[in-house]
Amino acid sequence: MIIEVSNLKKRYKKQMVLKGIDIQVETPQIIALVGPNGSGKTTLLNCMTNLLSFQEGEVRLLGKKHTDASLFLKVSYLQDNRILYGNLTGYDHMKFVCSVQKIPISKIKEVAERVGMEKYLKKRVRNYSLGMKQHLLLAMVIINEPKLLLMDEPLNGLDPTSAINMRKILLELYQEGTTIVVSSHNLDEIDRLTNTIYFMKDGALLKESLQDISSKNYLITVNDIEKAQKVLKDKSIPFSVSGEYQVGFEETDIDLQSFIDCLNDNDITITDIEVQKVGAEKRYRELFEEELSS
Amino acid sequence: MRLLSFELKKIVFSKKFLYILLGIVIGIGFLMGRNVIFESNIEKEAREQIDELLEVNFANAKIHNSILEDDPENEEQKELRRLNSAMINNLYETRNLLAPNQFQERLKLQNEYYSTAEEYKQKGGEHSLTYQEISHSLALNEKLLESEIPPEHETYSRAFPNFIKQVVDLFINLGAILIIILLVGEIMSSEFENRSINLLFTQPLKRTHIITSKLLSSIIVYVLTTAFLLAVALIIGYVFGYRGFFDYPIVVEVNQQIEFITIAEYLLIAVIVVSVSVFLIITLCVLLSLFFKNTLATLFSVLGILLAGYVLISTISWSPMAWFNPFQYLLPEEIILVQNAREWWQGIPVTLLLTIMLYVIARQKVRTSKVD
Repeated sequence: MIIEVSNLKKRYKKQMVLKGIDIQVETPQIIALVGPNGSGKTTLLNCMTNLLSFQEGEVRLLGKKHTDASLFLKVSYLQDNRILYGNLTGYDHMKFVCSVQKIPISKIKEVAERVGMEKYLKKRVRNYSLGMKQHLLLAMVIINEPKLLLMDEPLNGLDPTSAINMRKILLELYQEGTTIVVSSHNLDEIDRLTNTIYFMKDGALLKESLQDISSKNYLITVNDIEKAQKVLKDKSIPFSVSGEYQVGFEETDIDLQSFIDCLNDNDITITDIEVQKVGAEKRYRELFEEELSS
Repeated sequence: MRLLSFELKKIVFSKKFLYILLGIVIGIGFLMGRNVIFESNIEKEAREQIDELLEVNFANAKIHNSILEDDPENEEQKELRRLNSAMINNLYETRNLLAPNQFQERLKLQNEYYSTAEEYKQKGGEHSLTYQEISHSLALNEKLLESEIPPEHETYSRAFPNFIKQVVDLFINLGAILIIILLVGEIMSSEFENRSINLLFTQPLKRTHIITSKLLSSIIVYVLTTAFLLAVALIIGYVFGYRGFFDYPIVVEVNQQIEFITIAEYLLIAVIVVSVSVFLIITLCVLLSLFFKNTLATLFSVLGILLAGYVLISTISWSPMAWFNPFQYLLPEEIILVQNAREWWQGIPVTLLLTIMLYVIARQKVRTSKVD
């Protein structure tokens, strides 16, 4: 078992901030933790890594109890950039991680190049921009080739190029067998990264969100939009119209092949099919309608 | 070792460390500058001291003359007047021997004066010098004569060893405590405040190693700072001072008897006892940081504990207390100079024992320490 969190409950004074969280991850995957501020995402990650105490429950990562420091040989946690020391260089940080993880120092250069920070590796962290700090944090957590990578808001402060690069690295790590848990507010990035999204609301992990929520929207460009609208109405297929030549539908209503067949049977020519993923944001809107409306 | 070098880097590459080293250089340079400026006043000050004593003796002469006018046969007053006159003559002679190369004649005359003053007091005369001052001065002068070492001004001397002693005196009288609190007082608490402790807590490290590394790095930084301070004092003293003698005698009172230690011995003892005290303070800072996780609260608590401990225990006059008082080296000068019914090293075992106990508690505490 990669992650085993059972009935995790945490209280701050009288307020329950984690209300019996259960997570079981058996195979490598990328999991996104999504929720509004204060929903308990960071608290959950901090409890899992023994930074915070909790009143009830049990956490095991890679089969080891969360209090066992040796698990950090194969578990990395990317945190807030405040953990960095301004008066030291990026190289000093990396060298420290290498020394405690017993990794050859020669690997620093390789990892720095991979995350694109080789140019400022020997600058003091106090002179880093927000994005540069995120690069360093990423380099520090991937240098040990972790089996489990926990990330708290890794995309903060990253420019589009860096965000794309980070996504590429995370996907590569996932392909190499790393399980990644990412807490993020960036729903677009999450959509590009994973289909497995755990929504958190008021300290609870919403059970219905545990299923794969991915679905797709299709935009079909046709030669005769009026005819297409009539056919779809007659067949009672839900659809939307976009522009002068496009009809759209959701995969949850009808599968793509049936839709194409329906149009083809009525001599409507399809000239293009555009696929749009409907993921995190749609689901987020449904789950957090109350917060959004207020 | 891996963590220790990282901890050392964090302190040594900080601006604060640089500022403290700079402050040490400026402070010692200022001290030497002051000595250079006031050196010309040493002779003037000696003359003023003689004038003050003359005033005392003249006032006493008036009293003796007045009594003898009423009672010309008063033998006791006659004797006191004779002694007083001898002291006045002695002072006039001493005034003409203030040049540095005349120190042996001057010391002999001074000792004659002190002996006469002692006899004068014993025979009922009033004098501003106390018996203790007389006996200390007599003993010191005799020792200087015997060793053929010229006397040095206690505050403004530019003699190389005496200048180092001035620096070390400032260091042991709160200087070391101030430096160590500024330098490593927040070594643990700032980690909690900045959340950088999270980096250490999420590495494959035993948390007890973090405490050990923090303490060792603090001690190493203290040793480096002390070495730097002594090196700067040596360099400035060597360049701007003059040779002097490391066996210059320092008067210590041991069981009501006057004894001597050399400046070299004094410096060694001073550095040993202040270091023992600093180890205690560092450990206390680390331990309290684990409880408060806040620098201000930690530092106020440390200072409060040290102050309360020092004041409370110093009210106890029971002499075996020297074995049980871990706070006695906070201001250690007195401990070295006055060793009545106790010895300077007696507080070392209890201070080290308390340090070790606090270290063990800190090791236990950090195991369950959280960042909330």
